[in-house]
Amino acid sequence: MATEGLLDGARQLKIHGANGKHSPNVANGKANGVKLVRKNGLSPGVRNGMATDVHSKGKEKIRSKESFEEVPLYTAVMTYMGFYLLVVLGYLNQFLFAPPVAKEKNRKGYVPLYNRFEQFYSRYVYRRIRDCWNRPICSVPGAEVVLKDRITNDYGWTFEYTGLEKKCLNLGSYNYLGFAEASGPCAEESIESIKKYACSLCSTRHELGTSPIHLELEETTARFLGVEAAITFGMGFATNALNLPCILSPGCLVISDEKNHASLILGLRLSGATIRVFKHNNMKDLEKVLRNAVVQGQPKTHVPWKKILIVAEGVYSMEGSIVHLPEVIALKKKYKAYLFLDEAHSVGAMGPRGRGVVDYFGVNPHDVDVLMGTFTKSFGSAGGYIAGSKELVDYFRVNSHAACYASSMSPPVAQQIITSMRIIMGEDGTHEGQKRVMQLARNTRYFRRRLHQMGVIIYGNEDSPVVPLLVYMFSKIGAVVRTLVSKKIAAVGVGFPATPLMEGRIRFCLSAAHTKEQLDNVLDILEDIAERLGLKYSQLPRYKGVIQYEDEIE
Amino acid sequence: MLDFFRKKIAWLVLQYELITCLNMFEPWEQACLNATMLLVASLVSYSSYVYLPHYMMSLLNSIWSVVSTGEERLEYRYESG
Repeated sequence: MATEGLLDGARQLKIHGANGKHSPNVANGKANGVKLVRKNGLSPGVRNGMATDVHSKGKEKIRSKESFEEVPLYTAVMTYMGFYLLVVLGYLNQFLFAPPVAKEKNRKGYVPLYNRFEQFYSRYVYRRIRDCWNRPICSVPGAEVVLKDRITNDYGWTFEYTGLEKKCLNLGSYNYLGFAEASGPCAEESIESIKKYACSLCSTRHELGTSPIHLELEETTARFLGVEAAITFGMGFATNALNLPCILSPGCLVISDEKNHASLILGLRLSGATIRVFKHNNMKDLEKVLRNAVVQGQPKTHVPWKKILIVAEGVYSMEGSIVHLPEVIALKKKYKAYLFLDEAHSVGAMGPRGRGVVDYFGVNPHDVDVLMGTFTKSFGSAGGYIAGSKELVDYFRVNSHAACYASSMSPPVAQQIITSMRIIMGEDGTHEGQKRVMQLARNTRYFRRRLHQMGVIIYGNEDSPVVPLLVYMFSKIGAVVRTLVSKKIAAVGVGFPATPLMEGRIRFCLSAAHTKEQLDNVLDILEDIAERLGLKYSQLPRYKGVIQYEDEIE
Repeated sequence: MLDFFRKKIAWLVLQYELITCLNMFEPWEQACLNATMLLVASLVSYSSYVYLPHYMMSLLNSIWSVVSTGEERLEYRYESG
């Protein structure tokens, strides 16, 4: 019943918005004919059993800690001062020397492509440390990655390759479970699938792009998540950006976390629904916004909202925090709203069985109305899925632009996901998947605790495999990334457009492929860098003893 | 001992470079920035050498007159007015 309401408003939108190109009837017939027959055959009984099992396990769980330490005043002042210097000298530079790039004048009748400050920022602030980003690589981004060396002779305007390569420890890829491998069962089966199904089907899912491998992928995904059905798309970003407009229309209210990913924000803006933002992971603020929305209704008219959708992510990629899912679900039920959960970073990486935050908190997957996630991270592949009740998924199948117009997923890409998912579920007959999930959890806790002991500020939950290390100052992002590369460690720096101006950070992504020795090496180097560059900002008390790496549990 | 100081000074220079983003600038911009910083520092030190003792004395005097009896304060105010 719940999903019926969710789809209701959007159906109206579709009818109003349907144009000549769009033919829902034809699509409907195909979808029924091709896919749904097999979906019906799935037995929901097994899933329910699994779900309740999860529920009983989760009750013993102790809530882990989350920290967002405040910046020391001195650092804040200095960061702003550095930024003002960059801006002033940048404008002086721009005034004196014409930038050596093609100039786009504001042509009459054309809207300028970029606003002036953005243009200035990317040319005179970002360009100065551009060598730390967009580095070309020439190997599989597994536990180690080979970086292509490059130099610049004109302060970051252009780069030249030196022809040298450098093998670095990879702390920059979302390779949470280490499935990005050039050999092993995943690679072998992917190669086999090319022989069977070719590289691409060159057609959309509604037309000729559906093959047995896609149906198998969707069935496996649904089984993996413990829900009725799932639909998959060839691109993770588009899964959010193109499917959110399907279930939302003007007159709907979206309550969105302030740190949500750009793809969610784009999707919400495209939908035309009213968007209200709540403070990051702040349940009191969420309840306030929800209560106001229910009491006040739509602005001016005070007509009740068609529906209210809460949009949150499982693990926030820039903050390293985890959504407070049980509280969100309680609020959602109390105010009769719907919940859209983006598990892009959490699926596979979180929870004792690797099923995402739903598994981590031990809640019932049926309590989340729309489960969205990507295959790009933990599964070492590409694409995204939406999972939930069969009715919801069928609705997406028929109405989604991503299913209707986009080319279907490439068979080897799909096979990589199927194989890695089976390994995680233990269907290959080994404990390999469970081992990887546990290795990731151990690596995460060890790395985070050691960093905390070091006295640097790290954000987020202590179980989240994304570890943002705050360096604040713009110049320190560049300095730290360069020093790390010189010591053969590849990590990602994150600066202003992606984070607030002041909160420059280095982001480490842990992987099950890392060993304790590799992490120890990184930590020793980081200790040295933190001392030298002054990154030990934390004013919290530190743990004095020796932090143990947890033993492997057989 | 000498080595310790050398290290300390190197560390301080590095901090200065990081805070002013000096490591991100082109050479002429670095020269500009360093010259400005030097100018500001020299102005501050010069003015504090030349004017500060006098200011401090007059400040101490006025504080002293406030702290001592109220009548004197009144007198002072008439005088200055």
